[in-house]
Amino acid sequence: MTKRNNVIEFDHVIKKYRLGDKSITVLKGVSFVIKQREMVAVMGPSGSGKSTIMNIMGLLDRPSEGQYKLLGEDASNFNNDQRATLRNKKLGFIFQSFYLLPKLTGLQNVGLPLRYQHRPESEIKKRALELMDRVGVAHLANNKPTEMSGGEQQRMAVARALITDPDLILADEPTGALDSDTSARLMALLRELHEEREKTLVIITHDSDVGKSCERIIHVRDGMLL
Amino acid sequence: MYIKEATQNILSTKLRSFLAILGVLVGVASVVALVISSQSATQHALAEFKKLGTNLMSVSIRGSGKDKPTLSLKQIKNMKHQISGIRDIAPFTQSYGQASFQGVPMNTTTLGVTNEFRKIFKLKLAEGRFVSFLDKKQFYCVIGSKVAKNMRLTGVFQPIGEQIRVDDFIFTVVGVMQPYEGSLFAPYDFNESILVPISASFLLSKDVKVENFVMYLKSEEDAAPVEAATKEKIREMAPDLKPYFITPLEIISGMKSQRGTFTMLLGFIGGIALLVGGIGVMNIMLVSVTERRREIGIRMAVGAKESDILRMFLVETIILTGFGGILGVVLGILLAMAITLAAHWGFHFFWMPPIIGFTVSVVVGLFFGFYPARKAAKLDPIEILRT
Ligand SMILES: Nc1ncnc2c1ncn2[C@@H]1O[C@H](COP(=O)(O)OP(=O)(O)OP(=O)(O)O)[C@@H](O)[C@H]1O
Ligand SMILES: [Mg+2]
Repeated sequence: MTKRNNVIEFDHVIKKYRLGDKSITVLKGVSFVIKQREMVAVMGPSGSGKSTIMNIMGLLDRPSEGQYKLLGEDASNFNNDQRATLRNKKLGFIFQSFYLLPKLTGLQNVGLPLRYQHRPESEIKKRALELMDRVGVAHLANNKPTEMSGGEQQRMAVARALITDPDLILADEPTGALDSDTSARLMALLRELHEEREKTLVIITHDSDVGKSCERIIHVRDGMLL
Repeated sequence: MYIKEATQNILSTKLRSFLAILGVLVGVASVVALVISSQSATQHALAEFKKLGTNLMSVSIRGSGKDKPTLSLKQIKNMKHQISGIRDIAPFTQSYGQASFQGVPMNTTTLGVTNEFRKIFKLKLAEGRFVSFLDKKQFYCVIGSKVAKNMRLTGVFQPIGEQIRVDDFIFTVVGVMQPYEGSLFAPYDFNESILVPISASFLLSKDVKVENFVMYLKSEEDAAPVEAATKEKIREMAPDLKPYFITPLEIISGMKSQRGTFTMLLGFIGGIALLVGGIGVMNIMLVSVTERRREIGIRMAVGAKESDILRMFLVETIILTGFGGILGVVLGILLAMAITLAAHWGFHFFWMPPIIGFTVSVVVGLFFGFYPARKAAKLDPIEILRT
């Protein structure tokens, strides 16, 4: 077995928020490592800090204290433009409420990350269609998100997360807005993609079925790992 | 990419986009319309002056004081031989007497003129003959086209041979002039004038005196020496007279500098309109940024840099105001066409106002779009996506 590099390293990460004059600590010194090609679930009750962890992993938020290393590099070294570029090239996001742009078609939504790489229109279209075909929504290429079901929208979002061929996919409650059948099919798809493309996958979830379909579960409670 | 998407966004809120650009549109349209019209007017005026030639000089010798000093007809006519550079000289009088036809007062001016006057102002007859030097002391007159038209309206088919009363004198119409297109250098509207022999005009009232004459110079360059010589000659003959000289070239240069001032004033007004329009655009874009927070957050999450978001909103604002500018230019040109048509100035197209109008509208977009765009670019994606 080849040596797996660390994709994510949390080292005593603390996250505090200031609410008025008092400060609340949401993450109370969290340390863990996620290696290449792992499929990890992050589970815990509501308000325990799961999304906060994911936002830090996804370079959308910064730790108040402690160190976060992405792909071996200290994230505090990145400036805003570098963070944007890393989000674009190395990370793919899947959100609970899909976060597709309502004015754009499926094809345009899926191709969006590549537009920020200023790739030629024809290449963007080709890649987007390939991925939509892979996740089974190619027939909705010219539809607006409002004309799609929840499951279809989330598949579009999966295609968008994959289009830049990132190292790490972060999914925050990807099945949270889906019924159990659709949810199961989406998890099956994510597993397939994980195995087929060897992506590191972090899934935040409430759903123990979703958790079980992952290789490992990180349990969070009240800002700490169990 | 930016342009296509920006256009999509603008079109998705058509009414609001239209309202946003209204200020810019109106500002650009009014400036373009006014500047083109005023320039057309000047152009028209210049052409009018040039019709009669630019080697003219008008001299006013209205005397002041009790005895009202003046020059005699002979003294004026003699200057043609005494001063080189004068080709023709045309003294004329104006009588304030009321003219009437068949007892009905007419709204006309009675001018006492000579044959030179006709030559210099290029007066043409439609029918009959001109009041010539030979008609001296005879009470004949030539009437302007409008005077003839008004006479015809009273049922007189042929004005020639009819009699017009001016004060206590009866003048027989011997000629009708062609409609006079007018020159701004002409002292009166000849279409509404009754021309009588100058020597006859002196009989109308003791107040009728030669107060003006027009000189036709051999060339434009003679203007300064002729003015000096004429002034000197008049001083010799009537020391109390203060002659006042004006040439078409002086009026033209006056108009040109006036046009410059006027254009600047219009530019200033337009600038204020554009400022107000720009603030309107800025407000609309700020609303748009607030409404599209989520879109901005999503774009940032998938890799848009601050500069990408900044550019997206800037391009949108510039397309918006640029489009307003184009509409404004088109509307302004149409308005200018309507104005110049209504005023009979003739439409002259000038490139500068449309080019400047459009450029300024783009600059307005750039300037007033920057603040909202920067605000969008500085949004924190995590703040947006959490909600
Ligand atoms: N900007 C903020 N200011 C103050 N408190 C915050 C802020 N962001 C998050 N929190 C608090 O931090 C805690 C953790 O939030 P987080 O969103 O990470 O929870 P979660 O585990 O994802 O919960 P859920 O399962 O409901 O999504 C919550 O108590 C939340 O109220
Ligand atoms: Mg959460």
